[in-house]
Amino acid sequence: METEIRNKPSFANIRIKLGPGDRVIAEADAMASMSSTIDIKTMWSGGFLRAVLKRVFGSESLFVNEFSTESEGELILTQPFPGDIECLELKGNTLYLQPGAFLACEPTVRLGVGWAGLRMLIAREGLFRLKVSGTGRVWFGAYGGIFQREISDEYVVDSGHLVAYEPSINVRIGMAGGIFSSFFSGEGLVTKVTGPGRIYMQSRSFGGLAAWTNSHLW
Amino acid sequence: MQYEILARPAASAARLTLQAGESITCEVGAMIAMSSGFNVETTTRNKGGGGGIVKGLKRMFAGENLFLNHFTATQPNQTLIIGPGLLGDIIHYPMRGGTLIVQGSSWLASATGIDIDATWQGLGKALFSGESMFWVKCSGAGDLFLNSFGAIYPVDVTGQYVVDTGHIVAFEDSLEFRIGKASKSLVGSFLGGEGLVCKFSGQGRLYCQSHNPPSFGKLLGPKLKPR
Amino acid sequence: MMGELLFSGGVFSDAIDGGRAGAEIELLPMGILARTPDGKRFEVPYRECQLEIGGFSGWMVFCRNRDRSLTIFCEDRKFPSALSSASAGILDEQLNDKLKKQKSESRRGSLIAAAVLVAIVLLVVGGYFGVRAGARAAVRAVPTSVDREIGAMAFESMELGGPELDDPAVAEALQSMIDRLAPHAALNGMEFEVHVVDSPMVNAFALPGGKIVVYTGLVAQAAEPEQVAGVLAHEMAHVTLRHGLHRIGQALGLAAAVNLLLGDTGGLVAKGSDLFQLASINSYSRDQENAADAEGARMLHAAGMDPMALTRFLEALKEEKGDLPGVVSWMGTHPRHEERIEAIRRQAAEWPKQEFAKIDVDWADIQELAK
Repeated sequence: METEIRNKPSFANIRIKLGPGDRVIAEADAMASMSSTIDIKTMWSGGFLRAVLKRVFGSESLFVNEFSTESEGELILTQPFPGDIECLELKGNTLYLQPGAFLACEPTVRLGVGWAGLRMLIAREGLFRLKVSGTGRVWFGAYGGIFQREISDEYVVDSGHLVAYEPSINVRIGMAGGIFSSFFSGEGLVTKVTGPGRIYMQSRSFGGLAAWTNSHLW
Repeated sequence: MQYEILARPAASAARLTLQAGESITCEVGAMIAMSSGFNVETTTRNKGGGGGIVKGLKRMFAGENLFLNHFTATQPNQTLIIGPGLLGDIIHYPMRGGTLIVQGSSWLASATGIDIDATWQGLGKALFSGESMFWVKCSGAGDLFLNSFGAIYPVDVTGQYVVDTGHIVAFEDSLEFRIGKASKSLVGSFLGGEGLVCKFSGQGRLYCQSHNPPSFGKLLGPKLKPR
Repeated sequence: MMGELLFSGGVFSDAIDGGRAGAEIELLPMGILARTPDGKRFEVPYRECQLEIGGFSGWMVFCRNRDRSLTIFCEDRKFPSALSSASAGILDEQLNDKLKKQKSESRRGSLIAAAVLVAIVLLVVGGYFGVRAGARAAVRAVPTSVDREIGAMAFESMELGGPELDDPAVAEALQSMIDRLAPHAALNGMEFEVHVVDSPMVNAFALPGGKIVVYTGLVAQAAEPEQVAGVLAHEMAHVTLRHGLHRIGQALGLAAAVNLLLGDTGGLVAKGSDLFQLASINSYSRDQENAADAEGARMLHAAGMDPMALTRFLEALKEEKGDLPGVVSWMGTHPRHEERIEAIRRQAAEWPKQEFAKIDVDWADIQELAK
């Protein structure tokens, strides 16, 4: 299986060349185009119950599609918003993805949904998050550019900008400054992360786009 | 006419240089800037061609404006900068007598030698493709400019190729186009979020866009305040 | 007694491409061993081990070697006790210290979370009532010219649901009733102006500042001009009591409170401009409807018109409603008519008896024009 992320960073999309026996799993509606030699099989993402939880609380699709072929073919996967896509190879480790970030993975990767906790809800990051573990490649996307950072001490991220984090990262909610500046500076609540581990951030937030658009509607 | 595409791919614009007497037909609202030596004319028809109001109306239903702007250079070396409303790429397609079917909102500009017609692709196809009820049929010879939401990638089809309906920019009419289900089972097609897709067969070139405007709208829409 | 010795967890090390991998962790007699899926082995001896506790769950144990180049981590809840017994107590001091700290921190964390939740609830609830009271006071301080501006703006941008009636005779007749009532209004500075819209809807509403819109359906429905005067007085009362402004104030105030809480100041401006487009200005609260009834009846009585005409109109509507589904909008926005009729009757009974002058218009003519 040959893969390539094209049109980085503004309109990233994944081009995958599948050979006989190759399989790739992608979020529903991720397929832009493909050779007709490729078959699609639709399945519950991570089992029925988890799929339902994921749909209801993580605002993700109930289903994932598995693409495979008996001969060979090309597949283009994309995300709904413009932005970058990152590929990560899992070696038995785990990564938490924010709702909407997951795009595709190899079949050896386990997909699960986890309760992210009240603190993530307060940070407007969603009550649930996707958990990817096992071995193999995972592709996830973001609105805007993706940048990563190895965290050893404390680090502050604006809410809505966190895309993915490792389980070894502790996440707490804090105020950007004092009560006054937190509420009036427009920064509001921020997410404080503590290492060790890696986080992935996006350079724009979809909530930010919606707020900007709303304030310019007439 | 010479052209150069600027600011690719996120916020592309096309800079065209026209000599005296040369002209280009653009989507209304596409002009960003131009030098002073242009004569601008707004009509419902192709420059010098037929069609008139009926074709104009068809274009309107195709997601294009009823009117077209014709820019004719009256002096040598006049520049015109055009761009679409969306974020995305622009490509130049040199037409040499064939026919290209362009998705309603992807047509940006064409030379006067190209005849523009909004064609009805049949009820079933239009209904299920959802994205655009009409397609703009461009035929003749000259320069054609297309725009996209996201990047544009060409696919040279030999045999069969499948595209999600929101991702089609244009295709050569040597390709046959049919609506079908994405996976073997109909239920699976819908549950899997892929729904119905366009299946192209034959031989020819197909242009796709990397991003899907309806999907983007579905995500952003609920976050916007009601009007 | 030995517990479990095998756990699943992970490793951070620069010796791994990408710096991390999942691992199977084994507690050996000498130290902690981690085996990655591709067969690499990493070991931290108990004597060198520096412990930390954290991670997303707050229970992940990090075991680092002396120069911190290697970290083995495990999230299993049984891992700390297994580590304690496997290391024969070497790590107990560190472990107990870190666990205690973690426990107190997590307790403090949940306390803070609970406090924040309570504070948010208090702020929202308190803010709502505070804003209601504050809005009432603020509205009193706003000059009446603001009412007129808002009303004019809303009228411009509103979908009326029909064209204005061509023949001025109907509007003139209604305006003459309003002119009789206006001198008895509780608030000066409102400019009452009637607009008649050609539509079968049985509806009327007032905008801040004094613009009153009456649908021809309502004129056709009223058996006598006094009933229309009753409706007009009720609507005028909404204007003089400045109910529209109260509602804007409350809605704005609540939106402002919510926005401040969420730190979204950009949205505040958008919400503000939104509210001035008010079509929703006609939906008044139950208290406001009652107040408008009482004030309307007072104005009618003061102007020498029969306040009971409004109750007769309400009763007629109640009976007709079955035949005119969906058309009787004035009732739709004004529920509980029996209660209202009773309240007006009680109020009117307290006033001195008085001969009411008939309104001098040819009602049959006007109704013909309004058809």
